[in-house]
Amino acid sequence: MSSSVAHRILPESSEQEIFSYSGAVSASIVGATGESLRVRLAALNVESHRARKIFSSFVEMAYNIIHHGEPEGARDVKIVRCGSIAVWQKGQRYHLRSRSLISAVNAPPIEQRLAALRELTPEQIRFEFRLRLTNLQYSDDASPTGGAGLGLLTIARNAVEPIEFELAPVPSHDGRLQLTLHTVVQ
Amino acid sequence: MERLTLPATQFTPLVDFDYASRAFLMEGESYPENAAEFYGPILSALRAYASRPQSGKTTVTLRFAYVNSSSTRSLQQLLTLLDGAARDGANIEVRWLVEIDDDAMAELGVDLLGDKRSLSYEIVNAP
Repeated sequence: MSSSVAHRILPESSEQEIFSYSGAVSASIVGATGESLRVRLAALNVESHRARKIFSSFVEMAYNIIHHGEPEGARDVKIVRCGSIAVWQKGQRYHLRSRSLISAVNAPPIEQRLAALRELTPEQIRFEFRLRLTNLQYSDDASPTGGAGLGLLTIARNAVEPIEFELAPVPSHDGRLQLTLHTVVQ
Repeated sequence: MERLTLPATQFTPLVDFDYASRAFLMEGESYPENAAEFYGPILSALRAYASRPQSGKTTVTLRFAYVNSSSTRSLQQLLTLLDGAARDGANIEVRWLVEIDDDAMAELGVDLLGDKRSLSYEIVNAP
C-alpha cells in the first residue's frame, strides 16, 4: 500500500472528504454510520449503483472490524472493538479505508487471503465468490457470525482496483497489529 | 403451521410466511451482525414446512434492497433447503425481485439461484 494512503490523515486538495468515523464499532454503530453515509452520498448525488457499492463495502469493512478485530486496551477487559473508516472521493473514484487492530495469530491468514485476492482478476473474483457459495451447501461450518470468506470477496467484487492492505506492528499493543484496508469503488 | 411474521428492522427484512396460501415473502435489508441467529428460526420453520407433504405451488418472493455477506451465506442455506424440497417433489417457485437499476442485486440472484437444479425461479425487475 502506498504510504500516502496508509497514513493519510487529511484530504488532499484534489479529494473530497465524504465520511469518516473513528471509535468503538458495534452493530448499532454500523447501522448509524451506514445510514449517515447513505444520506451523505444522496446529498452528493452519487449515482445509486455507486452508492450501493460504497455502502456494501463500508458495511463489510465495519463488520470485519467487529468480527476479526482485537479489543483496544487491556485484554482482560471486555470492551467493544475499535477502528476507523474513512470515505473520500478523488475524481470519479470513491476510496474507503479501514483501520483496526488484529491479533498476531489472526494476521497471517488474513494477510494470505488478502494477498491471494490481489492476484485475482474481476472474473476470477466472481468465480471464487460463486464457488464459495456453492461449497457452503456442502459445508457444516457453523461459525455464528462470519460470512465464510465472502466479506473480503464482496469488497474485492465492488472494487475497481485490487484491495490494498498493510499490517503494521503497534508496539504499545502487546504484539497486536494494525490492519489497514484500502479499496476503490467506481 | 402458524403464520410466521417478523417486522422489518433497520438490519433485517420483513418476513411473512403464510402457510395457508403457501406464499412466503422476505423484503427489505439484511445485514444483521449475526445473520445465523436471525435466519436460524426461519430455516427451522422452512425445514418443518418442507418436511410435510405439500399440495399446490409454494411461491417464495425475495425482494432485498441490500444483503451483506453473512446474510448471503444464510440465504444460500435457505435456498439450498428449498432446492432439496423441490428435488423431493415439492412445487416451489422463487421470485427474486430487484430494482431496475440494481445490477448487483440481480447478479446476487444469479449467484444464489443459478446452481439450484430443482427449484423453479425467476429474477424479475420490479419498480
